Formats: sequence, C-alpha cells, structure tokens
Amino acid sequence: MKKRQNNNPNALELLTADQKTVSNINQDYKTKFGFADEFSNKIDLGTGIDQKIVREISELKHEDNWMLQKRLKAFQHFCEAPLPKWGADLSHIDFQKIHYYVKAASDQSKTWNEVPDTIKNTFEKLGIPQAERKFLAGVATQYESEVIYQNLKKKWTDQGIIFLDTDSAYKQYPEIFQEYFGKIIPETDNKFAALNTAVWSGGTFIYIPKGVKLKMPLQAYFRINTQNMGQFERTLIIADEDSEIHYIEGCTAPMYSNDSLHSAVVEIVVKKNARVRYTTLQNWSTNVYNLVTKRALVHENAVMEWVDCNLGSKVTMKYPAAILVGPGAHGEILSIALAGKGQHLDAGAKVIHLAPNTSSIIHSKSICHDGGRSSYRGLLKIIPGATNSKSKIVCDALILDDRSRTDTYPTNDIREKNVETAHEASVSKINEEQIFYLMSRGLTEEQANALIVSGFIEPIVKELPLEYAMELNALINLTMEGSIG
Amino acid sequence: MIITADESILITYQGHDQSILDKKIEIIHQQPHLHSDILVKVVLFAAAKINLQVIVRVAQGAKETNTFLKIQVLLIGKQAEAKIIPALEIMENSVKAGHAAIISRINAEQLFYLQSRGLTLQAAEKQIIKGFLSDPVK
Amino acid sequence: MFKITNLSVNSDTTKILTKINLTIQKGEIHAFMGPNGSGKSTLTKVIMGHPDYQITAGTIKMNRNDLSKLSVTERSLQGIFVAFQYPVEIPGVNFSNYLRLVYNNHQPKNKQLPVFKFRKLLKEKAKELAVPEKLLDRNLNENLSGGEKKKMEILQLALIKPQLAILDEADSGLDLDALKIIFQGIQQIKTENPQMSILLITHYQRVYEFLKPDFVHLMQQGQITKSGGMEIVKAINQHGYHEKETK
Repeated sequence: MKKRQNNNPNALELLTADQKTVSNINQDYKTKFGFADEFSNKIDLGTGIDQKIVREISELKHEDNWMLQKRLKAFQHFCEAPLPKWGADLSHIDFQKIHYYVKAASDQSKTWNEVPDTIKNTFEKLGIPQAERKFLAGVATQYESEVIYQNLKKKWTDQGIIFLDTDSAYKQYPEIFQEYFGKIIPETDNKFAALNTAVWSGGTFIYIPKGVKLKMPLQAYFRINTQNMGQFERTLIIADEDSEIHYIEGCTAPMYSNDSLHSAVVEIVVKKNARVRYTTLQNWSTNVYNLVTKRALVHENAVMEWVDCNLGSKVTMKYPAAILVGPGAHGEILSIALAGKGQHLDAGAKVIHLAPNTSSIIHSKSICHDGGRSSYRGLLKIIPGATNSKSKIVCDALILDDRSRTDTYPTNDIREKNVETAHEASVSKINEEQIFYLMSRGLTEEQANALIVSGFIEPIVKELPLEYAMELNALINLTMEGSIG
Repeated sequence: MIITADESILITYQGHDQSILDKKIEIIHQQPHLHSDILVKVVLFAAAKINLQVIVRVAQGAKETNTFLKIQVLLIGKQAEAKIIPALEIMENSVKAGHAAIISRINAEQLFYLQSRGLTLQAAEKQIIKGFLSDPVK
Repeated sequence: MFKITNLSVNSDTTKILTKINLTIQKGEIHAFMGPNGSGKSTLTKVIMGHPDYQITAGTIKMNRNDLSKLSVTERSLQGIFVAFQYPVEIPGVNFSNYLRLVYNNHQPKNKQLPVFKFRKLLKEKAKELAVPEKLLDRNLNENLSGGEKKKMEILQLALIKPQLAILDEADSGLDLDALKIIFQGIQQIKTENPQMSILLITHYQRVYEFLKPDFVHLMQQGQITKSGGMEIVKAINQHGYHEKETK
C-alpha cells in the first residue's frame, strides 16, 4: 500500500505520463505500484527451505539458542502439519521456490539521510511525500525483509514508548521477548504461523508503558521487492495497563509472474484497561498468497479493535482474533474484502469469550466482482462461566455479477446459557434502480458501481483515518474501473 | 434437500439430558425464481448438546432466488452447549439471501412477568418454551 | 431540438405507450397532465433509457441524435435531466462527493473543479436555492424527507444545467411552503438559462403560477389525447379527466 497517491505531485505526474501510452488500467497499476527496483540484495540465501536455512537465518542474526530452538521446533511443525483442507486452494504454493531471507541494506538506518538513494527512489515512486515524514509521528518502513528506516519522535522515547523493528527489539529487550514472543500464537498454532516462526525476519515491535495514551496513529509500510520472495514479518505489540495506541499497516507489492508468499504473525497483548486498534490496508499484487495469523489477548476491561481491509492478493486467509481473557474485555473486528478476477479472499474473524461480562462485535463487508470469490469465515466461542457475555455479528456481501461467488461460514459455539448472541448475514446484488439513477446524472456504469460499492463499505471506511479512507476509495475506483460491464 | 417450489420450512428440535445431536442440513436452490424461508428452533435442556450446520447453497442459474435462514437456540440447561453454523454459498448474483442466528437464554423479563402472575418458575419456563416452539414468527 | 416521433413502448410484452408525438423547441415549457397510470412517468423513464422498457416503434431525437442508441449516461451528457418523483436512496454515498463527480462529468476537462473550489460553488448554489447546507454532508437521499429529496434534485438540476429538464411530479408530496421554495428555485434556474426547455409532469395547476407552460398535453392510457395551450388546463379544471374523455 502506497501512501497518499492523490496528494503527491510526483505520483500524479507519473500516472498521467504513463496513461498516455498505457490504456489498460491493470498495466497502469503495474507501472504505478508494481515496479521492481534495480539494486542487488546484499544477502540472499537463495530459494527453498530446510533445517540448514533456518539455522543460517538464526546465525546471521546472531540469535540466542532459545530463539534458534524455537525456530527449529516451528520448522518441524511446519513440515509435519498438512495444508488446511478448508478455505482457499493452497496447493499451488511451491515452498521450494520462495526466498526465505533477503536483506536489503547491511545496517539499520538511523536517520533519513542515511537511507540509500535507490530505496528513497522507491518511496518517491510510491508517492510518500517528503513532508509526510515530518507530519507522521514515526514511520517504520519495512523494505525487503528488514526495516531500513526508523524514526521515532523524541517525546515518545521520553514517554518510554519502544517502537522498533522486531530484530532490534529482540536484541535490545530480550526479557520482554522471552516473556511474550510466541506466547499468544505458539509455533504449533497452524502451518503458516509455524513457517513464520521458523524464518521470521523484520516486523514491528511496540511497547506502550502504563498510562501512556497515543492519539496519533503509528504507521508502517511494507513491500515485497524480490521475485518469489517470501515476507515473514513478525509483529509484537504490548499495551500496558491504561495505555492507548492505534497502529496502521499498509502495503503494495510489485507485480510478478510467479507466486509469492506473505505469511506474517501479529501478536498483541492488551493489558487491563488498555485500548489497541490495529488497522490493515492490504493491497498485495494479485499473485501473492497472503496467509496471516493475527491474535490479541485482551485483559480486564481492555479493548481490542481490528480494522482489516483486504483488496489485493491472489489468496488471502486471515481471521484476526480477539481472545477475551479478562472480565469486561471487549473485542471488535471490522473487515472489508474486495475480490476481483482470480482472487479468493477468505477472511473473517475469531472471538473467544473466556471471562464474564465480555463483549464483541464483528462487522464484515465483502464484495466480489469479475469472477472473484469472497468468503467470510468466523468463529464465535463462549465457554462455560463466561456469563453475561454479549456478541453481535453482521456480515454483508455484495455480489456484482454471476461469475463471482460469495460464501459465509460462521461458527457459533456457545457453551454458556447466560449470554446474548446475534448473527445476521445478507447477500445482495447491486440495485439496478440505483445504477439507473446515477447514470441518469451522467455517471458511467463503472463510476456508478464504484460509488455504490464505496457507499456499501462506508460504515467501516469511516473508522479509518481520513487519508487512508481517501486512499482506499481511490484504490477501489482503480480496481473497479474497466472490470465491470 | 433441494428446493423445487416456494417453501417455508420449520425445523424444531429439543435436546434433553445428555443428548447429543450432530447434524448437517443442506438446502439447495437450483431452479430460478424460488422463495424459501427456513426457520430452525432449538431448545436445549440440562446438558444437551447440538452441533448443527445448515448450508444454504444457491447454484449458478438459480436466478432471482430469495432465501432466508433463521436459527434460534434457547439454552435452558446449565451445561447445554450449542455449536451452530448457518452457512451461505452463493454462486449467482441476482439473488436475495440472508441468515440470522440467535442464541439466547430465557428472557428474564418474561419470566418475571409470568411469575408475578402467580406461575411457578417451572411453569413460567414451560410457557415460554411452548411459545418459542409454536410461534414461527417470534 | 427534442423530438419524439410515433413512439410505442412495451414493458415485457405489455404495451404501455402508443404512438407518442412531441416536439420541444429551445426554451419552451411543456406540461403533461393526466390521471395516475396514464404513462406520464413511464415516458420520462423511457426518454432517460430505463432498462425496464423496450421501444417497439418510433424514435426519440435530441438535436437530431437518436437517443435510443445511447446509454443512460450518454443521454445525460447530451443534456437531458430528469428530476425523479421518487429519487432512490444510496446508503453511505456522501452527497458532496457524488455531486462533484456529477458536475465534473458534465464539464470539459479544463473546467473540472477540485474539491475545495467545487465546495464553494456548491455552497453558493445551495444558498441560492434555499437548500440547507447540512444536507450537503448527508448521504445520497438516505433518510431524507420527501421535500428534502426534491430540493436535492433541483440542486442537481442547477449544477448540470441541461438542455431539457424533465420534472416528474416535482410538486407531489409537498406542502405549500416547500412547493414555493422548490418552484422559485426552478424559476430562478430557468431565468438564468432561458434556452433550457422544461417538460413539466404534474397533476396540479398550482405549479403554473411559477412556470407558465407554452404547451399543454393531456395523456390518457398511454396516449397523448389532446395538445394545446392553457385552455386544456381550464377544461380539466372544470370537468376533470373523464369529462374530457367523453366530450
């Protein structure tokens, strides 16, 4: 995901110049987002995975034995676990053709001036404005497998906030790592969490101390830039008691002909009375398998909100989870999926109520068009003793043509009688009277469709910061153009 | 089951004691222009358990299908457990499809009202369950 | 400028309009009267190209272009505007964004307006037409009252400035005060754009105090049974539609 295309004059110039020669919107998209920079990766362990590669990654990172052992154990589980039999078709992933470790620059860059020019050029093309850096409170930009640029406002450091790439955090705060790493999502959780644990590299680490409330969102950008490269970032966020944080991640990826794999793990601990919002704008190119495990442990009276927008990728399987362990904990998962040609987005949510007086809301909006398939898959579980728990689930799907498909698979597993749960789902096609009305005012059919789609997802988009909302709508317009009719 | 005419289907189930019901029901629309209303009502007493999957599938070509699935579960027993999956698989765009699932306990206000009119707790519960199972629009 | 010749229209297999003939010149105001279900609203939808209706015979031409070959969008860009009797609601779509898209689609590339400039123009227009500014930040017709919806239709008319404005029962469901505001607005747009032709569809003659028709047409059972001037209005006023029929 690229930042603020519409505000950046360079990005606009690039777009118009290309549009002169390129009429096909997908090609334009490719030029805009899907370029591969020409610089050699400093360390490239080649493709494929075996125990030796796992050991080498750990060695290159000068890790302690416990991390190596964790990686090896995870690798073993990855080898033993079968591919999931439900959800999307993953049989075409060739694990031996994927790069498991690539390092772009030899060292972490401390200031913007030290960032290599080739990488700066990439951001230029992506349209991240110069001024934006000052505006943004802190930007961690993941390029290739490593975070190459980190900038954190001084006052935050003074407040005791730690905002680092995960590799550095592991070295600087080993005690926090020992306590939390792999505890929320153990390496044996599922095949892809195991793979991530075995070969993880980069990602974001955030610690917010007691009582610190961050009003401005923290942001990070991710890209894949090597053909067949796997991206296995690992994110760990710990929000201490009474703290507040909003973290945003967004990505764009280059277009390549071979399949790529993105398999991240995000672990979050929300302690008593704390509040975490984690927003994702996912726009991988449509050859990427995006298989992500995200889970938050929510303690007493704490709030966890996942806002998850999925536009890209060939296949996405992602079910952000909130485990409500403390009394009064609240979990909320808002998601959007837009599946077009050749895409299967199997997204959803998981909430597990383990304590009394816990509550949850799941709101999913999915759209499929041009032969795409969107599926909602959810789990709501309430264990005995989680009395007075409440949950509300709403899934709405919009299906734009008869080549597309939408599914809803919600599991409601209720083992406590003193609860209230409600689940609603609806599937509808685009309303023809609305299309007629908009066209009668001079909008094209594509514009009309895009407008109705943006209206459909508006209840979730309004939860996004303004610039992201604008970007998402622009991306939807771009995606919908020329694909309908 | 395959829907061949406009239908409204009521499925009720009461689970007692240690009973366990593990069931998958498939409702399939293949023909166009058909309307189906499926209402599933489940009451679970004591330690009864249910694992119920209801799949409504609208196949390609079943244009103008209008279908709604509603599952209501009343948990009475302390150890009662319900696992409910109301699934939709839609392969046609000119359809209206929806589902709703509500898992709840007996409404305390209703219980209080009936008891205030002299019914015992058991009698009040019985009345409410009777009403729940008999009234399809409730 | 605008000419319908021998137009017959079906909906599925039912014949609903028969041999309609109508010519509207630049700047003229035409009124269509007739009982409910006589085909007035259908005719407006057919002119705009609604997919429910099929033309079985005849032509609709605008400046000699055959409209029946054009998409709904192209008809709008050719200068036809319908203020609908029941504008649809589109949830989640912000009015201002939508109106800017509509406005810019009708402008040549070099006259298209960026967000802030458009907002300024929109505020001016809204003020002129007594449209409350808060309506501009609502969603497209979502949960608007009947009167508010009609006001927003007229605001769109003012932004698009079509060659032919078709007002389908713009007066229905309005109290007298609201009617006055809306028709004063239309009057104002017409004064600013004297070349704009208007096709008024209405049950009631109270509208003619604001827009005096040059021609009046009576429509009954899918046909134009009488065309003329204000004398038709008087006759209907005295005898009703049925008297007219039996005479």
